[in-house]
Amino acid sequence: MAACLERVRGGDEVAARELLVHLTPLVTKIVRSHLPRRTAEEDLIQAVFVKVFTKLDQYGGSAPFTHWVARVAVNTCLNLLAHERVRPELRYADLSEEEEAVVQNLASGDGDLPSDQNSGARELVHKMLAMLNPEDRLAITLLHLEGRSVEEVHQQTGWSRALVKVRAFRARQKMKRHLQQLLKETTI
Amino acid sequence: MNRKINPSDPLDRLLRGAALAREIDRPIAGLTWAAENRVLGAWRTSRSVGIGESWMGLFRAGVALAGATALLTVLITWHTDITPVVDEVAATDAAFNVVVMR
Repeated sequence: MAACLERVRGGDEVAARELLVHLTPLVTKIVRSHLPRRTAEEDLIQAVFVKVFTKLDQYGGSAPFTHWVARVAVNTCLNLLAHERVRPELRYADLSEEEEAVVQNLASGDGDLPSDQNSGARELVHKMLAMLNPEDRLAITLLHLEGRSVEEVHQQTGWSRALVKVRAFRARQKMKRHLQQLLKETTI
Repeated sequence: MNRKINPSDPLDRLLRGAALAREIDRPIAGLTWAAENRVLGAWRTSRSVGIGESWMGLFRAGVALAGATALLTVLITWHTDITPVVDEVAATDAAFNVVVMR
């Protein structure tokens, strides 16, 4: 990777194409997790790569190159998400049958959800995430859905470790309030 | 996140269920030929701009050096102009007059 990077910096176009191919799975995965609504996936991947290649001189080499690329990708998505409207509210009536079953289970049961309700849970979480601001959404996605550590989130976003924890805490509090509202509506 | 899941907390249960749900793995296709070329085109342009900028920097340094040299020359010339020059002919004349008068 380091040798390839050096060749790219020297203007080697073949190396640039190799680097592009090598980085595509990483960038695609990040873009898919944080894709704003009404944005084409390929356009966003292309925008990330343009940033990576035109700012290559800014990579200092203190962190692994893939971490730097991931940070560029996350920040590009975050900038686009910042212009996206936050969903005002989520009512029980807006839920699909699958999501309703999940909420009913959460209201009555304990422990893990049955595995056949996991996809419903994911859908519901995505709807709840749409009510958060982009930073809070990112914190929950990385920490709770992708299972990353605080250290990994710090490296990927550039936020301090304390900020990662604070954002996650605040986001959880907001999600708790929204979920409580839904749970209340099931009992009515 | 390395935190314990509270089995009775609805949000923890919901997030755990969501994390366990497998997203439909869509295959990752490479960039299209057009997109790849647009990226490399932007990269080439940024490189040529960078090279142009380094030449521009050299040009600016040259202009600054030439300006400084010109200013130094003007200062030296001015300094020479204001230094009183002894009129050698007048001095000789005076000496000649003295000799003649004797």
